[in-house]
Amino acid sequence: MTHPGAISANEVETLVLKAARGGGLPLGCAEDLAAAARYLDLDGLTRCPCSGEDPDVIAVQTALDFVMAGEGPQSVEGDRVLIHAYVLAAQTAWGKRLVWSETETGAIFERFDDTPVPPAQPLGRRTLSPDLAAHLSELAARLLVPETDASRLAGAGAGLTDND
Amino acid sequence: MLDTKPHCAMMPLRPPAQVMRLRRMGASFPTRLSFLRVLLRQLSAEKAHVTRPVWNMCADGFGHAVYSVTLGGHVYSLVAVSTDLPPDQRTDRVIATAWDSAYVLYDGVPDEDEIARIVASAPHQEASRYTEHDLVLSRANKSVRLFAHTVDALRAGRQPDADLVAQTGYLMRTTAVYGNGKFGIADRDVFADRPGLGGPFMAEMLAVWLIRGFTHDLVEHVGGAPLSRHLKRQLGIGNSTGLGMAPFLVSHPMLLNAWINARETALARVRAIEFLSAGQIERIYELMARAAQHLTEWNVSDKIGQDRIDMIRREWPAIAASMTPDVMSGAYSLDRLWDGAGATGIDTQECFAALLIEPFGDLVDDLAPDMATDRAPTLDPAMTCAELSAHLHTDWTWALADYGAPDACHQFWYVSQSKAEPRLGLRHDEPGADLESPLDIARRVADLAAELPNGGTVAAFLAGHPHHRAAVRRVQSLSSAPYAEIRDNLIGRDCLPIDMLRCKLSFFGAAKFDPKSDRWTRITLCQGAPLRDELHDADADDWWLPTFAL
Repeated sequence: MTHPGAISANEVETLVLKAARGGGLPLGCAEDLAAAARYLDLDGLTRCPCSGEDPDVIAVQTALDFVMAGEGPQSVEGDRVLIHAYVLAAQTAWGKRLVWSETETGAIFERFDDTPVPPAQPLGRRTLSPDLAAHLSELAARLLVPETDASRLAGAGAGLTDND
Repeated sequence: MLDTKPHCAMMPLRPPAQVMRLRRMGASFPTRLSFLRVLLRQLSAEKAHVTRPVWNMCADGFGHAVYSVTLGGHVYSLVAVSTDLPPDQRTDRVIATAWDSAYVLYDGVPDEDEIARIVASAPHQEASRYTEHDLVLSRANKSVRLFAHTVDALRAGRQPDADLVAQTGYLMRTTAVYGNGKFGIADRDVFADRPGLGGPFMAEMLAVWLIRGFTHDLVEHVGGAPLSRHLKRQLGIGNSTGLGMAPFLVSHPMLLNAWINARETALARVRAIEFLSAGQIERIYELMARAAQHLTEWNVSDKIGQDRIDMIRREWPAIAASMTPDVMSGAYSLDRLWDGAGATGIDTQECFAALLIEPFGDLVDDLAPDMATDRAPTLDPAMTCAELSAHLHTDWTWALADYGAPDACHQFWYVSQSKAEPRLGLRHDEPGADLESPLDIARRVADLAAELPNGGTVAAFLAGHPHHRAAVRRVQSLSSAPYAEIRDNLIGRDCLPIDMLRCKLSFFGAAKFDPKSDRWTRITLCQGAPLRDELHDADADDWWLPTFAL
């Protein structure tokens, strides 16, 4: 299903989570991407973060993990808007400020420190381009199981009419 | 999060290993912390007044109406749309495309254009798009038999048959109550900070309570005469619930923890009361009798469900008999009674737990605000794998099983292409398991345990094993949120999804659970709840386990 017009923040997160799972990302990585989607300018992406053989999102999150574990600095390549969103999500989740800088192709994450971080402002309700909405919806639809007569009759545990 | 309020004495909380088993969750009863109770107490406290500025309904009861109420300084309006539904289209399932009635809870008072928009869109439900002014979207189908009977009776100058009202309990049942941004309606963030709507599902509960009043108005309009107040108060709003509700408890572990923790803390506080007053003792006696009557009036067609009700009926008198004047006037009488109830079945214990909490609003009602939480499960990549392993072997031993055994992976949860209806399949007989929904938490954690090394950090482990990321997050989160996880295998042969449904529905305030299968139930909400003009009555909050008998 496509979403013309504005869609809610929860719809964005849910759609991204499903699209990421449908695109083949591991569940935990799809959850991270959905959380980052609160801050992610989806229309600013140059490539889909939900699929691919070597997804940027796993590389970015892995780099953040290592820095949080005290193993910084870490260099990472990826979409600028994706990295920004992951940084904001990580700072919000861990309550620490990330010292980092952008590079031409990505970023260098130096360290997390205890400097208070003002809460990041989620993008909230927004409008997706029709092409992007259609792409994400197509990925999400890959999780749907085709209907059979048996599943229609028995899968939900209820009959087909309710005239009581 | 555990309760740390220093002013409240508490007995130890019940352990998660006991509370978070499916069988016990599936025995849940509503309590005074259930969301409908919390909402209606707030409406009563604010002396809320419901108006009906629009009633545009034909003689047959088709048209639309608007109800408005002020809560926490904000006006909310229910727009109700009633349509003529052919019987062959009446299904409560997600795959339905038409309903007897449709509803939007609107933020403010809708003008004519907004009413027209909602009247045009709400009957299409998921097939329409909505705006940020729309807070809740819902629909309901008639109990055709009771609705038609009530209309006939009222037209004939009679009241409907009391037995039929008691058996059914509602004129309509909702089949979905959507909130939090679904189909373009407002995100919860829009109103979460407003007084009165900050608690979990408060907007949904407000919609449900207003819908219940609409069903009364509609039947009186078509019948041309008023229902008796007693019958009207016993007519709640039904709900038909399937598998779509179950994954919520798995995908919102911190919220589940907050709900269960509040209820368990309430029980622990009540058990710590040293001496009861005479009035409190009398109240407990009264509630014991009311619960017994409620159980007598609760009959279901499902054999397992009825057997469990029958068991409570048989065990209830023994608990009542143990409440001798000596026991009740002695020290820590409620804790002694609670210990004694340990000899009864799980269903009886959970009913008694809800009863013990009921008389002590002063002691427990402050827990309600903590049932909402923005807390999210957070992964700690700096944790060592050795620490993670220790968590696994402390909190997750129940999950560490062989999931290659056919019974251990007997079923799989999935979403059908048909209108995205959630369903359950048999892994060894049906296609689709490769697309299963991630409710296999126990299996995922067991897989993690099998591959977790002894050395290194979680960050290093996940760099090479990103497929374990979700499991790691859940394992780590449980250590500070002990009631966050259902401690059973949700893909095993023994898993009954209806247990998950009942747990969640009891927190809404549902009663009269009426299972239609192991994955589908009808319930009644708001039965016995105050009507719109009864919010200010002294007994407005006294409707735990309502009884039909006067």
